[in-house]
Order: sequence, then C-alpha cells, then structure tokens
Amino acid sequence: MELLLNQLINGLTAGSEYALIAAGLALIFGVLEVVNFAHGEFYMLSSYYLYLLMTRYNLPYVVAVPLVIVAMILSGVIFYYLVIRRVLSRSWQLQLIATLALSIVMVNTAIVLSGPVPKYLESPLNSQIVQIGMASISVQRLVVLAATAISFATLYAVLKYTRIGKAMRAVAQNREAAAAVGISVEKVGLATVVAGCALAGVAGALISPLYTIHPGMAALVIIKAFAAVIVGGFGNVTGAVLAAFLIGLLEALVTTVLPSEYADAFVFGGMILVLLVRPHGLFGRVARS
Amino acid sequence: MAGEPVLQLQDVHAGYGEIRILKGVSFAIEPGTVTSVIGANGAGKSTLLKTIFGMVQASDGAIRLDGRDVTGLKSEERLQRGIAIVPQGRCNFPLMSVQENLELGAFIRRDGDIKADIEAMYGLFSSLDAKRKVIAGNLSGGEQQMLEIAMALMTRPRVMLLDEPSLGLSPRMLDYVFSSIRDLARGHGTAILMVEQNAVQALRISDRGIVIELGRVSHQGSGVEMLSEPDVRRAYLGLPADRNAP
Ligand SMILES: Nc1ncnc2c1ncn2[C@@H]1O[C@H](COP(=O)(O)OP(=O)(O)OP(=O)(O)O)[C@@H](O)[C@H]1O
Ligand SMILES: [Mg+2]
Repeated sequence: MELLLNQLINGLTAGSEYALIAAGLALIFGVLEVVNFAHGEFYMLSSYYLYLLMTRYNLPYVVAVPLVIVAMILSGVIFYYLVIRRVLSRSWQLQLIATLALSIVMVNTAIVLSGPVPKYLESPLNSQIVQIGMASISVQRLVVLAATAISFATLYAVLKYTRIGKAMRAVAQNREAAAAVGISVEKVGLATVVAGCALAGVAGALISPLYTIHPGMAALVIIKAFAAVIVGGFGNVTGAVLAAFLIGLLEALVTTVLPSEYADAFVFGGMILVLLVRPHGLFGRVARS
Repeated sequence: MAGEPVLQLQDVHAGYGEIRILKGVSFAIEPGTVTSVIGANGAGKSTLLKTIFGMVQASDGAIRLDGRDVTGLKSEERLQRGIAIVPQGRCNFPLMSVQENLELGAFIRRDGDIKADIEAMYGLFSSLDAKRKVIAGNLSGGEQQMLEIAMALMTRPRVMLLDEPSLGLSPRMLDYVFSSIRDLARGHGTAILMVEQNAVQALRISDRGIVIELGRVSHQGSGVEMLSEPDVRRAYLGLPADRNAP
C-alpha cells in the first residue's frame, strides 16, 4: 500500500516533468506549426542555470528558482529572435534543420563549458520528508506537484482570458484570419516561445535536484515529451499534458511489478497501440485546416 | 460618379520573392461604391487585395487611403486607418463561438463601443443572432461568410476587400450575400472592392468593374459597361460578344 502510494507520487512527479516540457512543445507547434527540436535543451539549460546560481553564486534554492525562470524568459526572447522568427514562415524542412542545429550547438556548448561529468544539486527540500499515511515522501516532490499545478493553472488563465492568450488561440486556429483582424503573428510567436521556455524552466528548476545534471540529460525526457505530444494529438496542449501524466503513471506502475528496464517498452508500446486505434492521438482533432 | 477617391493605386508592383505578379496596377475607388475585380485563375486578384492590405508588400508604386500614402505601413496599421479584408477561403476561428469571433474582429480597437457594434452586427445579420454561442466551425457555409464579413466590419472600415465572398454558397445565399454587400456600401458609405468568380452577378450589383490581365488593369468601366464590353463578355463572363445575340 505504501509502496503504491510512493509509486503514485513518483509517477506524478515524472509525469509533471514530461508534462511541463510537452506543454511547451505542443504550444509552439499548435500556435506556430514549428516543431522545436531544441526544446529539451531548454530544460537542460535551466538546470545549468540553477546549478550556476547555487554553486557559483551560493544562492539558496528558493532564491535561485525564480531567477532561473527569469533567465529562461530572457533565453526564450533570444531564442525567438535568433532562430524561430527567421524560420516562422519558411518550409518545415528549414525549421527542422534550424531547431535541430540549435539543439546540437546547445548540447556541445554545455559539454565544452561544464564537461561531460554529471553534477549533483542538493535542494534542502529533498531531505525533508513528510509522512502521508504510511508513505514517506520528500517535500521536493510535493513542491514539484504544486508548482506544476500552478504553472498549468496560469497557462490556462492566460490562454483563456488575456488579450495575448486569445491572440495565441486565434493564430493557432487560423493564421490568415488572425492577420486579417490585426493580430501580429510575430508578437504572438514571441509570447508562445517565451511561455514554452518558461515551462521548460519550471521543469529544470524543480526536477533537476531529484536527478543529475549533464549535457545529455534532455535526451531521455524529450522523447517521452514527444510521445506525450503525439498521443495527446499534435498541437493539443491539454491532450499533451494529460498524456504526459499517463506516461509518468504507467512507468511508475510498470516499475512496481517489473524491473525498471521494461518501463520504456510499455510506454512506447502503449504509444504505438494508441496510434493504431486513434491515428490522430487520444485527444486529436481529425485534421487541421 | 466624380468624387474624391477613398482608395487609390498608382502603378503598383508586387509579387512573391522573384515572382512578379502585379506589374503596374492603377485605379481608384470612391466611398459607398462596389467595385468588382475579375480575371483568370492565377491572374493575381488575391495578390492585389493582399497588397492593398499589406499582407504582400508592394515593391513599387503607391497605395493611398484618403490621399495619404499607406504603402509602407504594416497590415495592423492599415487596419487602424480603415482598410479591412476578408481573405479567400475560410477566414474565421473555427473553435471559437460567433460572439468570440466578433470580439476578435475588434482586436485592434480599445474603445468602449465594441459591445454595441457587436449588437449592431447581430441586427445586420439576423441569422447570426440566434447562434451567438455556436462554434463558428459548426455554422453553414453562408453563415460563416456572413460572420467573416461581420468580423471585418467590426473595425468600421472605410474600404473593405472581399476575396470571393460567394465561394461555395447556394444560389439563394449568393443573392443574399450580394444584396448585403450592396446595402453595406449604400448604407454605411463603405467602399467595397471584391474579387468574384460569379462575374456576371457581381457586375450587376457593382458600380464599377476592373479586369486584371497579365498583371495590369486591361479594362475598366461601370458595371453596365463591363457587361456589354465584347472582349470582357467573351473572355470572362462566358457570354456571347454581342449582347443581342440569342
Ligand atoms: N505565397 C505565394 N508564393 C508564391 N507564389 C504565389 C503565392 N501566392 C500566390 N502565388 C502565385 O501568384 C499567382 C497569382 O495568385 P493569386 O492567388 O493572386 O491569383 P488569383 O487571381 O487570386 O487566382 P484564383 O482565381 O485562383 O483565386 C499565381 O500564379 C500563384 O501561383
Ligand atoms: Mg484568388
């Protein structure tokens, strides 16, 4: 029973990580029709920001986390003007090469700057344990869950009620109609990319203390995030988030009964199964106009 | 029909990268009039409207609104000054309600009259009134066309560009759309420039007609003149050159 509860929390934490990254991917694809192959590297970047702030500048964890988010917003702005804006109305091949190239540059820059050896970060919340029933759970994991919930509530409110959020949905639904009513696709693009980077930043700042930080750390996560985006119906943010949690929970469930090596087989086997039955994903619309 | 033109094009050139489509287009339109643009498929009719709205940049020549040059302005700025467009094909937000679509039509406005103008649109297009909460994608083709015209009207334009408003409409809806367009021009003083495949019907409700051929204006005149011009009748209206022929 306690094992199950622990695994449930583990599954939800992993699901949060996948969901925060998948949401940004789905948002950028849904609004701008750009597949951002560098998205995982933004997760890696935010982990390094956290590492730098905590070890080089000796900032406490609770101070470093908001600074990481600010740094990610600025990085998103730079990323937008340097890469995305230039390929926004170009062919998908060009977009693919541009974001893939950035991903490679970021990974290799990280190797040059920090070396390939993994780094460890201690969050003070990691060693604080709370008892829930019979299970002992680290406060860090609870913070991850709370911060994820807050992030998605904020994202939902922005998309639903704010002027820029409405503009983002408008561009996602019909880019030409958006231009006709005077919505600037360039401004919407900036907001979308910044939102995606900030979400990846939340993931990096909260979850990296639970794992290790190294240049290739995104590889394992991004493939799950892509799976979530595909299963969720490409470009559907809610679908991607729900699918990400499903993947996290499925992994946790599999590892309670089987050796952990099987988890990926179940996740990707599940993905293939879903796509066989529902080619547009669990929550996908049938076609985009 | 001698008045001050609201929109004036002078030797406008435009295209896509190396591909030149408009090669010196000049004409003017007056407030409260309907002008139909006709031409073969791929002649550059949509490009003309997009160039006037600023979705395509003119490489040469001048576009003037009320005598002021707007050639260098972005679409958002042209919209602010009073040019609105309903592009070819579906041009609404299919997952949003009729009401939300109309609100987005007023995206560039910040004044307090938006609600009242939306009500005015429901008055103008009564078929939309009963469907305020319906998702635009679930409306019929004719209703979507009405919605898109209403969205463009939300900016209170001086010049409205309509790209094939009758596309995919039933003959009955087509009559309704055309008579609404004429009433808009007469009633609101909006100048309407529309591209139409149904050239005969479009010219019947138009004050003027313009033919685009090889990137230039090849013929222009009043709607009635165009309907009786032998070259135009043969090439674009699918009618015998002689209007008295059987
Ligand atoms: N974005 C684009 N990039 C390159 N060429 C384009 C683009 N849009 C249109 N064209 C080309 O420009 C020419 C004029 O196109 P345009 O859409 O203006 O024609 P049209 O007169 O509106 O035709 P239709 O009656 O089919 O709507 C065509 O040859 C078309 O292939
Ligand atoms: Mg056209």
